[in-house]
Amino acid sequence: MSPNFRAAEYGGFLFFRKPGDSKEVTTIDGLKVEAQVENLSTKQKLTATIGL
Amino acid sequence: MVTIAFVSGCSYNIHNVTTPDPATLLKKEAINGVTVAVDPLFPAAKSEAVFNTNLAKDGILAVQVVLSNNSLAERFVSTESVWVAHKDGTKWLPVEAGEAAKSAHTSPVLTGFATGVPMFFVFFSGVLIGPAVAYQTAKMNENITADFRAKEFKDRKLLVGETYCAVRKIDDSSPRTAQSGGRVRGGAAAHPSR
Repeated sequence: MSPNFRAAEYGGFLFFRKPGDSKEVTTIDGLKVEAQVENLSTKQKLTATIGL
Repeated sequence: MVTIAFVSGCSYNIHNVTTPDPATLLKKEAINGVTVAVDPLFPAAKSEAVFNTNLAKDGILAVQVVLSNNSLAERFVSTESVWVAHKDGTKWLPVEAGEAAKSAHTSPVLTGFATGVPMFFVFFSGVLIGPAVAYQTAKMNENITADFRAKEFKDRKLLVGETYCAVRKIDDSSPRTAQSGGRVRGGAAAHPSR
């Protein structure tokens, strides 16, 4: 099944602010993104963890 | 020369985002037929290529999220269900697109230079040019915020076999001033079933 490229009108960027006092982001080493995707039928949630 | 530097520094290009195929992104994970791929806008050049500003200097990290659903079930992903964290578990705070856009906002001083109106002239010109520059600044900042919001990830139901990603029309003909973004690609023309 080939991916169906749609949903273009929504965009796909999320923004996050670095915690703590030091302001500038100087590295992304040691960071990860976690994303939960819910199965609408079973309500089961999958969690993907991706290192940056 | 200085004026040219200011002009180029304060204008805002609407950079359109091409379709990233999840398969081409290096940072991804597949679980039960759902692929989650991410692309952090770091270092500065990547951020500037999309949002015309280095968000990292203001402590903000933008992450492009691409989801591909090749499972047999409909899925749902919300903005609250995606987050950035340190490996020790410390989460970064989500920032709304309008707030992140302030990093790219311009000021009346820069707008004055961009529109060929040096600030000393604005200050001494009475009531006509000052408000005009302020209006132009507000207008530019509105458009910058609109661009950030247009590219922001939204809550989304993923149908079976659907890829969720940022797709915008590639249009490099836009002038080097802020304006509303072009029509997105992927509408009726790009999607035969619509």
